[in-house]
Amino acid sequence: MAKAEKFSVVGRRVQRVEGFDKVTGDSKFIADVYLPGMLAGKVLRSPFAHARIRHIDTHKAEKLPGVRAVVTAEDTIKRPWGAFFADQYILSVGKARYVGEEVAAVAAIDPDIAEEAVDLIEVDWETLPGVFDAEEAMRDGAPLVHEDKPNNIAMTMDIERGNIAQAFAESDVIVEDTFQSMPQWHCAIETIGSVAEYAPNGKYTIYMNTQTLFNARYRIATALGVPETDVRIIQSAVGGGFGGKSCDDNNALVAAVLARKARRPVKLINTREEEFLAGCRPRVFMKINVRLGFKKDGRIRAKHIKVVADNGAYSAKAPAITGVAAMRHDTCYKYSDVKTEALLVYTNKIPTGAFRGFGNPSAEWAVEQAIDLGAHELGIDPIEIARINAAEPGYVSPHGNRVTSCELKQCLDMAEKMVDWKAKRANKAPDTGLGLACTVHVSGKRHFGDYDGSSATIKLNEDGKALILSGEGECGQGVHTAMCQIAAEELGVRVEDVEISRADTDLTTFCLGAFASRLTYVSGNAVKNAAADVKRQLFQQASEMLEANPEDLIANDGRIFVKGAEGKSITVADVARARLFRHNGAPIVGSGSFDADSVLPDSTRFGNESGAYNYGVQAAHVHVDRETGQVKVLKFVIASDCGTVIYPIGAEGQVEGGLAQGIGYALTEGLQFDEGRPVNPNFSDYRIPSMRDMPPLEHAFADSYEPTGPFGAKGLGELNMDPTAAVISNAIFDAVGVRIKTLPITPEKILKALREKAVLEKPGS
Amino acid sequence: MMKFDYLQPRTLKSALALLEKHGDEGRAIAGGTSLLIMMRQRLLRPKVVISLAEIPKFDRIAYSPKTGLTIGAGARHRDIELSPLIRAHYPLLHETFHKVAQPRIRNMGTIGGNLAAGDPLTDPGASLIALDAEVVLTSRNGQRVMKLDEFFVDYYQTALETGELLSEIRVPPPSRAHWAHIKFTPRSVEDFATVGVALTLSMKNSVCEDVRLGLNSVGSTIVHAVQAENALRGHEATDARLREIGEVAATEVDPVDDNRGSAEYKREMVKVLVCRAAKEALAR
Repeated sequence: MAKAEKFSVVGRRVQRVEGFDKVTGDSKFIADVYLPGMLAGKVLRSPFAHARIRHIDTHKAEKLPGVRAVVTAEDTIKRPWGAFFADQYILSVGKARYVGEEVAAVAAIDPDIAEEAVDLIEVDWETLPGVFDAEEAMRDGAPLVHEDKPNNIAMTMDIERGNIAQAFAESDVIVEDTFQSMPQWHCAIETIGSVAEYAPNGKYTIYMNTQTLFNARYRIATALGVPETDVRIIQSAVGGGFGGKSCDDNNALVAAVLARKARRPVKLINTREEEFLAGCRPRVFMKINVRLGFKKDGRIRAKHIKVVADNGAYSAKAPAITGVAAMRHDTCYKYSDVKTEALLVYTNKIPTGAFRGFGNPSAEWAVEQAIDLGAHELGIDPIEIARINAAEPGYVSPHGNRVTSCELKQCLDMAEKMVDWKAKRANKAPDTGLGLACTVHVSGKRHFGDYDGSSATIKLNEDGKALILSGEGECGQGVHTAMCQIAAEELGVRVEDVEISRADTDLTTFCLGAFASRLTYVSGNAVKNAAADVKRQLFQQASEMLEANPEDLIANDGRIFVKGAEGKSITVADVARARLFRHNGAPIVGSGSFDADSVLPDSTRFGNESGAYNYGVQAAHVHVDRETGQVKVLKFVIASDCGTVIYPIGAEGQVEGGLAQGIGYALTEGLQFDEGRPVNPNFSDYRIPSMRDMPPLEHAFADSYEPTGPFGAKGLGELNMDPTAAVISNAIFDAVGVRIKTLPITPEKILKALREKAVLEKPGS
Repeated sequence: MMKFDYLQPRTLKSALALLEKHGDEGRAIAGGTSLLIMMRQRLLRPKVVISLAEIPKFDRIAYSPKTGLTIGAGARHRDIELSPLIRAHYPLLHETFHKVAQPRIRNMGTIGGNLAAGDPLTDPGASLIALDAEVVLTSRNGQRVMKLDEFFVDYYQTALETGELLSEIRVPPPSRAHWAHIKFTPRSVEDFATVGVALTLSMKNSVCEDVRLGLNSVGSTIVHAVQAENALRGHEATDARLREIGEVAATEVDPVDDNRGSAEYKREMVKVLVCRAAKEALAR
C-alpha cells in the first residue's frame, strides 16, 4: 500500500464516526423516532396473488374505538409511480397483483388496535388465475398481470456489437449452457419503516430509513401529486440497506396517506414477514443462457447471452438490473463481438428489484461458469483463461465503457497466491477442488436524469471544526467515516475535527444516495471539492494573518504553516474566528459538487455508464462429501481493486459482508413460492449464513490508484458478492465433476448429480 | 399481539391448580422460545399464560450413580450444556445441548418446554431417547412416569393431558459406553437439523451388546428406531452390519419435504448418518 503512505488521514484505521452511538445503543433507528401524538399504522395486504377487488367496506374498522384513519386507494390520487416504469400504486387500484400487496391501511392509537381494525376491513375479492413463471407468463393466452402489457412483457433488449455470427464461425471451441438464478432477500437487520407527518399547510415530513433520500422524495412527491419541496425526507439511522431501502416499496407512501387523513403523525414499520412479502424488492431472478466462443489459445472471441428475467408484479428497478445482467460483465474481459438479448416479464409475485450487485450476481453466476466450462474444454487452467482475457487500463468495452484504472491481473496474482492455487491444483486431495471467478462493478451509474453526481457543503465552525452537510446518507456501510476522512485529508485537520450531518432533503443539497457502489467515488469527490473550497477561503484569511501568499500555505493537523518557515503558523480555529468576528464578517462555508465523466447510454445502451470500474477476483478451495452432497468451503480468498482504500475497517466489512451474502446466494437462501405465495418468509425457513457458517477468509486490496477518484479511490460495496456463487460452483465441479446450474446449490442437488454421473460412467452403460 | 392474563405462581402446587382451573384456555410458559412464536403467529391464543419461572428448584440438576440423573423441567438448555455433572456422566447430552440453536435461545429455552412442545425438529428428544429417559407428568391428581418415546404422539402433540405439567426428566445411570450425535445442518449450523441422529451402544468383544437409536427431523415425532437397534443388538459390528442398520432405520422414518430437503433426501441421509454415527460411537 505504498501509495497510501503519503496521506495523513486517508487509509488510516480511524474510529467510525457513528460508532460510539451504535455501540452504546444511542443511534436513533426508525423504531426510536417518536413524535407527539404519533399513531401506529398497519396495512391490510392481499391474501391472493391475483384478485379483483369488487368492494372494500371499512365501516367496522372505522368504528373501532381508537382508530383515527382507514385508507384505501380512494384516499389517493391513483397515480401510478415507479423508478423506471410507472406501474405501481400506493394502495391497490381495482386489483391486487401479488400476495402481500398493500390494499388498505389503518392508523390507530396503538398497534394492537390497528391490527384489530385491519381484521375488520371487509374486502369482496374475486380471485383471478395468475402467472408465476416468467416463461409461462409470455405464452399467448396467459393471464395478464397488467392489461396493457401483452404477453406480460415489461421490456425487451436485443443488442449486437460487432458481428456475432462471424465471431462464432471464427471460434475454435464453443460452449453453451443455461443457468437459473434465484430470488434472494436483503435480510437487513432493520426492516423498512417510516414516520410520516402532515402539516395543514400541505407539507409532508417523513422520517425514513432509506438509503436514497432525494430519489425517495421524487417518487413520493410523484405518487402523492405534490411538488418535491412539499415533501421533506429525514434519514433515521439505517440498519442496513443493500439496495432494499431505495424506496421502491409503498411503506412511506402509506404512512403519508394515513398521516394526512388522520392529521396526526403515523409510524409504520414492516414486520419481518411483511418485509419478505412486500418490503425490500428481492433480487431479480433470471434464467440465463450463455454461449461463448474461444480461440484455441484461450481468447474469448464471441459471447451471446439470453436473459429471461422475472419482474414480479411491478417493475421497480428490474429494467436497469436486467440491463446490467445482460451487459456489465463485458467490461471484465476483453470482448469484441457480443450479442445480448433480454426479456423482462411480469408475474404475480413480489416485485423484484435492487440488491447488492444489481444483476451482476445473476450474470456472473452464469457467465463465469461458462468461462470455466470453456477452460475445461480447452484444457487450459481457469486462472490462465482469466489472465489471457482480463481487462486492462485503457480497455473500452463493446458497449463503450472506458476503463481508467484496472488491476484485475494483479488481483489474479494475489488470489492465486492466497489460495495456493498452483500447489493445490498439482496435488489435488480427494473430493477437493478449486474454483475462481473474476468480477467487475461500477463506481456510480449514470441513469436518473442524465446525472451521476453529488454535492456537499462544508461549514467551518468558529472552533475550527468542520461540519459536512451531505444528503447521501449513511446506511451502515461506513461511508460517513470515509467522507470525514476525505474532508480531513483535504483540509489538513484531524479526522476527529470533522463531523457529518444526517441527511435531510430540506437542509442538505441534492444527492442521489447509496446505490451502484457510488458514494466513496462520487460523493467523495464532491466532499473533496467542498473541502478545497473551504481551504481556499481559509488560506485567503490566513495569508493576511501570516503575511504570506495563500499558495505558500500548507495545513496539517489543524494548523496552517508557511512553507519554508515552519515556525510561522496559526491554528485553523483562530483563522475561522478571525474571519467571522470582524466587520462584515462571514462564516467560512464551502460547497463542492462532482459529476462523473460518464455519458447516458443511448437508445442502444451504448455509452460509458460509469466514471470508474472496480475489479476483483475470488477463489475458493472446497470439499464435497460424496455421501451427503454437503459442500464445505475450506478456504475463501478475495482480492479487490477499489483504488485507494479510504477507510480500511469499513472496506474490510464490505468484503466480509459481501462474502456472507454471496455464500447465502450460492448455498443456503432463496425464497420458495407456491402459486406466488412465499412459503418460507421467516428466518427459520429462509436461512442466511450465520457468523459460524463463514469459511476461513483471506483477502487483500490491490495496489491501485483511480486517477478520477478522490485520493485515488473508487467503489467496492457490491464487488464482493457478485461472483461468489460461480466461484463455489466452479470449485464443486473441480472437486467431484458435477455442475449445479440452479441456485441454491443444495447438497441434495449435488448428491443427485453425483448419482446420475455414476450411472453414466458405469462400464457397459 | 393478543391480550392474555399473565400469572406467576410461586409453588408447583399453585401452578398445577392454575393449570387445572384454566384448562384448555391456559398455557404454561417457561423460556417462551416456542410458545411466543406460536402466539405471534396466532397459532395459539391462550387466555391465560402461567409462568413457571418462580417455582422453587424447578431447574435443579442432580446425579447419583445409583439412580442416575434428574433434571427439573425448568432447566435451561444452557444449564444442561454447561453442567459439570452432565459433562462428566452424559457427554452425549452435553454435546447435544451444545448444538441446540444458538446461545441466545439456549439461555432462554428449557428442557421441559422443549419436550412438551412436541416439535420433532428439535434435538434434545433423540438424545434423551438414546439414554432411556423418562418424563414425569404431574397434575393435582398425582404423577405419571412415562418412557420418553411414548410421550411423543404426533406433530406438536404429546401425552400431556389438560392440567398436567411435565415436571421432571429422569435418565438412568449410563450403561452404554459408546455414543455419537450427528446434527446434520448443511444450510447453517444454526438451522434445525435436516436429520438428527443420537446413538448409544455397548460392546462385548466385537459384538454389540445393546444399542439405542433416536432420530429427529424425520417424522411426525422424534423417532425411536427400534428395528435398527434389533438389527445390531447381538451382532458383530461389521461395516456391512452398520450399513444395514442405516437401511433399516430408513424404513422406520417418515420425513416430509421442506426447506431442509425432500423426504427422499432425508431418508437417504438417515442411511448414511446412522452408519456414520455408529462408526463414530465405536471409535470413541
